[in-house]
Amino acid sequence: MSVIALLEVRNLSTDIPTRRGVLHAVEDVSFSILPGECLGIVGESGSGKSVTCRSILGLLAPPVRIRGQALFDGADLIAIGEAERRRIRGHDIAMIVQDAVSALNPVLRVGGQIAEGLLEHGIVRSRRAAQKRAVDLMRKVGIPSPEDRVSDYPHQFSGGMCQRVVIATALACAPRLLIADEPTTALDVTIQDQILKLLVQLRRELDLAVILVTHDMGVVAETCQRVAVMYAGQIVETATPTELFENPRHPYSAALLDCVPTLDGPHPERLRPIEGLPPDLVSPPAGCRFHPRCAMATDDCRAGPVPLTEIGPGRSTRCLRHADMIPDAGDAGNLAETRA
Amino acid sequence: MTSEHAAHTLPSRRIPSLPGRARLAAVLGQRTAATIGAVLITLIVLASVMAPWLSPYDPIAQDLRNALKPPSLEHLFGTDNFGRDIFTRVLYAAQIDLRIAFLCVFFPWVLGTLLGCIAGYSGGFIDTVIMRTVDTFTAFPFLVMAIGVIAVLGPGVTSMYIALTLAGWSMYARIVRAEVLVAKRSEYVLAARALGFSHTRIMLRHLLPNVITPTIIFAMTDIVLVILSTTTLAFLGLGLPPPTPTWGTMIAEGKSFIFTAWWMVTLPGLAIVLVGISLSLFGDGVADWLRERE
Repeated sequence: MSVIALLEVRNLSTDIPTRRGVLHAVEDVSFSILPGECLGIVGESGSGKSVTCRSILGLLAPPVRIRGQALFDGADLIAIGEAERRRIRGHDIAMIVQDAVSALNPVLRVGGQIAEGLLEHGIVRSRRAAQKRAVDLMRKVGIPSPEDRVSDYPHQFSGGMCQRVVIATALACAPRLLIADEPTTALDVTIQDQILKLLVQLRRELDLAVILVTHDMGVVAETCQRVAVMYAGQIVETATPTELFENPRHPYSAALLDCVPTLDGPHPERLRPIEGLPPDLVSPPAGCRFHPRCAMATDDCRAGPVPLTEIGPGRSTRCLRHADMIPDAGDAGNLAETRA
Repeated sequence: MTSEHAAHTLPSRRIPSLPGRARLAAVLGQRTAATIGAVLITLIVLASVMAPWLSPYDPIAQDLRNALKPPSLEHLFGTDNFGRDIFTRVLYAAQIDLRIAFLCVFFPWVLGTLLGCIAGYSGGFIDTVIMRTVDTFTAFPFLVMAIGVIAVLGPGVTSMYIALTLAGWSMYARIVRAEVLVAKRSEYVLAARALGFSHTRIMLRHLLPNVITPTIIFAMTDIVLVILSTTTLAFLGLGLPPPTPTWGTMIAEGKSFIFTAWWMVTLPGLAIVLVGISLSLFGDGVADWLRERE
């Protein structure tokens, strides 16, 4: 990888003090994203996806403690001051949140909300110019007759249109990285598809890097170049979607894929849910965090923390028995050896 | 035409979406009480502004030959012990009393709302300091506090403003803080922060418009209390010095003549009652309207 990463997250840990003790919401998360790349972060609720994004942007207030590094343009987003971080937020890195309808301020006109970032970051000086840019942005995200709708209020928009407005607010300052935190979860399926297509199209047009947080494997397959699977605050596997779908190398990823209903391919009697519950992050299990729910767990898995191991170019897993997961077990050893 | 139709078919509490002024008219049309209040207030304000044309008398010049005359066609409300026409003085007093009442709600509203917003949004130490101050101020009875401040500053309009602002701001701060605590967890605040907006911008442009309504509703009921308080202070001699007419001072002056000239006390008193009733009718209507819009 000769291209310099746009954002490089190294050993990010986020601790949230609670009444019951310190909750390790994110632990030792590292990933990087190249300019123009789309990285998917998948995992179930509470696996630390959103906390990771918010930690990077500095949106979590004390007493939350964040350790590690998030290098963007040579600046460590974790270490720099709030004022500097605010100049980057919205300007270089934008974020869109899950529920678009409530992400828009109900009492402000959408045009004003789209234009506001331009004024705040000093890209446009006059209100009129900002308003004109707002209309252009609304057209770009596919809102019909933007000239008429620019002075409407959010409640006059449907859920899908609201998400388009939110995307327009995020893209106003032409950021290089867009963090989309479950952008389609609150929408119905047909609209989800439209929004994803829009994101893919905008990414290409604007050469935008996208971190797409989702719990939907299908979304990942359609849009991302690379995927990171998160479980209990850790990244357990990174791969390309094809690699992940064809040969998951972490039991959790495999189990997650088994939960997705498919139309083609073998039909199991019923979908296989993952037995048990995700661990309590105040006192996570010793060793591999997945071992209590893992069918392949051995004593080694319980013994000590499992490191994220690189098993190929851009591919890593946090499983001791990843080699056993290669189909056609006979070649498994050979493959692992040739790679090593 | 469609909106007229809608107004008839919809249940009475639903207001068709009309442009601002037409909607206010529609709302008022449905609320007889609020309309009466609004009409009365308009009449009172007009009467006080038009006082020089409505009455041939001077509110201050004395005419001792006509002292203590009972109400008649010549002097509608009678005259006081200095022979001044009480109707004229009541009209002129309305100018002063209504302005004081309005500003004595406006200043605490601004101060309390801003401080409450800052407290709720900042949290932590700033919140503690502001809210403990609020507790301290709320602990004093309203009038005792106001009297105390005026006693220190000396009587006059300015001290009245300061006194009532200090006595009244804490309730607004409490209301706004509670609203901000809820609103600041909303997604639109998170989105605004993710866009890199400054705290000031988030507070003033994103939070404030969303939390302001309950304070306006409270202000609508507060104004009646304030107008009673300001007249009480004037009655106690802590308002404007004589001979400037205010309802409170007029009642205080008439007190000594209560058995010989009942009109000196009663008629300015009725003016206060009338203003109080109209304001509370109108205020309730507006408050209801705002609550429904929420």
